Amino acid sequence: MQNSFCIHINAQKCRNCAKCIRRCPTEAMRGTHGPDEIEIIEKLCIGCGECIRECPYKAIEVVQDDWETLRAQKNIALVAGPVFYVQVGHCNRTGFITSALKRMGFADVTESLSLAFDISAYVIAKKIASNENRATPLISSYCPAVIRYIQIQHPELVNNIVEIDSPYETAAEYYLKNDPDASMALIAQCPAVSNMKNSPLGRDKSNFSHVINIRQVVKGLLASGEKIEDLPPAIESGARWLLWAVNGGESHHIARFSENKINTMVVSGMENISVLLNEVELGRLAHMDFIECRACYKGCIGGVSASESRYLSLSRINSLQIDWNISAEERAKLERLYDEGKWCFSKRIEHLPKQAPLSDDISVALSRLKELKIIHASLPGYDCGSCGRPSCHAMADDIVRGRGEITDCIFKLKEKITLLSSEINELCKKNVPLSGQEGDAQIK
Amino acid sequence: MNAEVYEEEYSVDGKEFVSIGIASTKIKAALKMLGIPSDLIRRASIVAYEAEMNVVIHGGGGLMKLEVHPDFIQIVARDEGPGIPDISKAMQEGFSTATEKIREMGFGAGMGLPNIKRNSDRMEIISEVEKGTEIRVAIDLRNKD
Repeated sequence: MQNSFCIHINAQKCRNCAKCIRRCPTEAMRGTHGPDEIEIIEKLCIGCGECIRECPYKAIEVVQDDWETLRAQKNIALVAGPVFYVQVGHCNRTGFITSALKRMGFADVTESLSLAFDISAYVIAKKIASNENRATPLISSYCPAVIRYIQIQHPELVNNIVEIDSPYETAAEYYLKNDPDASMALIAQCPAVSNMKNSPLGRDKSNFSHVINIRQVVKGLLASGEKIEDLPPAIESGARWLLWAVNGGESHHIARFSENKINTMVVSGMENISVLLNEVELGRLAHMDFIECRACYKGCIGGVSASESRYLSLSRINSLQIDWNISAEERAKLERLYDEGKWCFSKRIEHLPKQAPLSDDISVALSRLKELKIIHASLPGYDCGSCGRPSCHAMADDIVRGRGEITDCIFKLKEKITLLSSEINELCKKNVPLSGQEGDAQIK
Repeated sequence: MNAEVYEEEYSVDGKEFVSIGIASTKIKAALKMLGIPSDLIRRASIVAYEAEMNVVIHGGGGLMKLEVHPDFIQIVARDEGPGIPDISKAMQEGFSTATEKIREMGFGAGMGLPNIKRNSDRMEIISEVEKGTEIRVAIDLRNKD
């Protein structure tokens, strides 16, 4: 079994169909070590969960803690993104989850969450207004898969990422101020969020010591016998932060704290993000203030570790009565928190280009790139994945770096066998002068 | 050994807006593989994109060429369009001959050539009315120590 930092492949279920290898947006998967081993290149995995979505055999699993073990522990505080709160219940009963958790003995962290999302939106609005970061447009730092994607695929844009800590970490920090002995557990909607526990972005250490998927917690809640009907509606109104679970929620929240009109753009789904970031690199979007990018289509409600369909979640969120009036009291509190400064990254987001250049010596790199183009042109271009690589281009790249050979390609291998067999045929026809047969022998 | 030069040529379709940015995106990908520093890639991408737009909008199509020398990148955009009658005027910010339709699409703000110049180390425009235009732009790679 291969273990990655946030996902692993269950070898019992994996059929080596290579679908995940082809789907991965950063080409982080390979099957070049033989038939029974698909490898995840950890430094390239962004945790977007596309491979999990693609796998027909559900062989790719998210690394997480166990719900029953977690429940048995003392003083656990569960922090979850807004998507968690719309997983169960009828359209107007999103309070089910908070109430059920309370009855099970878990502390209510929604106040810290609400504050953390408010401060994030407040700070981003300030950053947009002051334009202290000269790179435009600013790119949201909310989706960790997007941050990693930029680090790997578009390192040129790392400086565009707005340097604001994840609201989950900020919420944990606020909660820990009141209850320093609590042990923080993160409920994740996707592998990228799960990964925040072990590999946090923009900070050295995470506040979380446990991580668990939404699916497992929701299953646990439903199995606990809580009745949806009897519960009072909690967090029904005023919960601006719940909108961060869907496309546009963050931008909307920011706009509420902005004095001037801001130009924002919302994009979700890895393929769409790839197109958009390419346009940012070509300088087409320099007039935009802020781009909200989410790896999952429709936003976090589409996360692979969520239990509910994104469309049901969306309809629940749409039915919420959101209170957009920010009171003077709330504002004063935010200003105080702003001055405390706990919302920002304590560590820079590094450049982590997908792979080393073809060579550190530009002359060598130039000749290798020529060679790569020639090899690539000779390959069939089906991107079939049979060689264990995501594309013919990736194979050509491996060959020039000395990590493969042309006959790794099943079509090239067939060509070579055809060639060899025709040579063998030719050789067989060749007369052997002294073959030792009787001169006049005739066989009937 | 002779200094290696890497060359790639892309034809640019002049009829279809769909194809815009394709050559620049390929140029960017090649530069990334070569390990060119990211700030230079950013400048080269903007140059390539603006030049490609010119080839499509004004030139009615043509070709783009990337040359990577050990010490500089050269991007060439060539078209057989109407040519530029007054190059110094075309270099002024805000000057544009783009049609209303093209402006509606968000192009033709008259920032193309000035933007190319701003992001390049050397720029040369060769243009003849009714024959075509060739823009050659160079971006220096950092000196090796």
